[in-house]
Amino acid sequence: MQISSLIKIPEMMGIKRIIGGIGVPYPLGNPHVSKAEEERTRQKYVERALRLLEQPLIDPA
Amino acid sequence: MSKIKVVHYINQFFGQTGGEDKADTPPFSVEGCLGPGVLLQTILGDRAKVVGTVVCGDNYFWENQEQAKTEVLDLLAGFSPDLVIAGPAFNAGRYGPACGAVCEMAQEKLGIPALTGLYKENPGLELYRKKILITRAGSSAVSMKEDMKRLAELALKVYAKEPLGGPDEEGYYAHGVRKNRFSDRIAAVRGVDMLCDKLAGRPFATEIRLPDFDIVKPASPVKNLSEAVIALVTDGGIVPKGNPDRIKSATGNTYGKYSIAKMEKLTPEEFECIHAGLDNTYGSEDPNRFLPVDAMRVLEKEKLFGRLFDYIYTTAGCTVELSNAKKMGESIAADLHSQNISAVILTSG
Repeated sequence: MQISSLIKIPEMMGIKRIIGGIGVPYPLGNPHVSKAEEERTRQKYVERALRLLEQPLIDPA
Repeated sequence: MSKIKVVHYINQFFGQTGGEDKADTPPFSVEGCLGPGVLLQTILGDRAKVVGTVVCGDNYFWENQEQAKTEVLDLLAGFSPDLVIAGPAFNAGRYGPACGAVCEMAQEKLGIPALTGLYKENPGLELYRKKILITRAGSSAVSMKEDMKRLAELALKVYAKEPLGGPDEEGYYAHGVRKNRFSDRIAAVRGVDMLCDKLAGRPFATEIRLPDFDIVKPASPVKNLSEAVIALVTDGGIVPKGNPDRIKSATGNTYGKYSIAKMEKLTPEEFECIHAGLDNTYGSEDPNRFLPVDAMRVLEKEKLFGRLFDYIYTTAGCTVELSNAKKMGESIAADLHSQNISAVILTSG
């Protein structure tokens, strides 16, 4: 799966498992909050990403 | 006025020597035209004369590379040509690149214009389109007549140094060179006109053709996440400090594979961000913002997934040429497959 701060790009490429990143220079980071909070947030995103890998894809057809 | 002297290059098949069995024919030349050269002469009429034809077996050309090229060049030069026309080679995989190579040689070594005609999928097209002018051709000799005409007419224009129209007008493949020109309407008007045509179902032509992306079928879900081996890959340009492999910050075509074995997280002392298309200070400050090794280790200990792969793959995805991006992706994927990785988390800015 892909974590990208610009989700339009993987969408355009036909990638189905996408999570939007937090910011272009820090897809899994946030320099505006405390270190501890940044790490917690990163863990949440990564856990979501791992769970997404288990997801079957629904065929719209 | 002396007629333009043209030399025609063809392979053993069109040179009526034989088929595959004669693909190892060494180069030879004949006076005047041979095979499709007769059609070429008819098209050229009084404007030019096919003074000679050089024939070479497709296998001979590629199996003897430098020697064959020298031999062909000598034969070409022997006719003191003003212009070289090769093929057309349609979709022939060895003949096409041979025509390309011959034209490139004639241009460089003899200083004369040289053109060939190829089908859009002929491997010779990508190899030579930037070096020589290549006209459109069908996939087989079925379209010989029109393809030869297109080739011959453009060759004469190029010889006469006439200004050329765009690729679609003149029937050649774009060089990738942009030529500015004035239009009678401003871009805003052209854009709206194009949209109106599109909505009304009228034909319209885009001014900028976007690249074609091939859509890949997504992989099946990971069956057992708690046993899965997950690899981290990024195009955010996270590299070992000092960028030892000199991965380019933009327009690159290489990637790095680096060990993170036993690392609990990436540190700014050991890694940095070299991506030229974003503010890379944040990635250098904390490389885990791109490659979340720290978070993965926490979740690995919690047994949410099986194991974090010992290597990360990285490149800087800034203005990378599509074909290079594809090659890098394919190479990384092949490596991952050979290590039985269950899934990948790819991060981008």
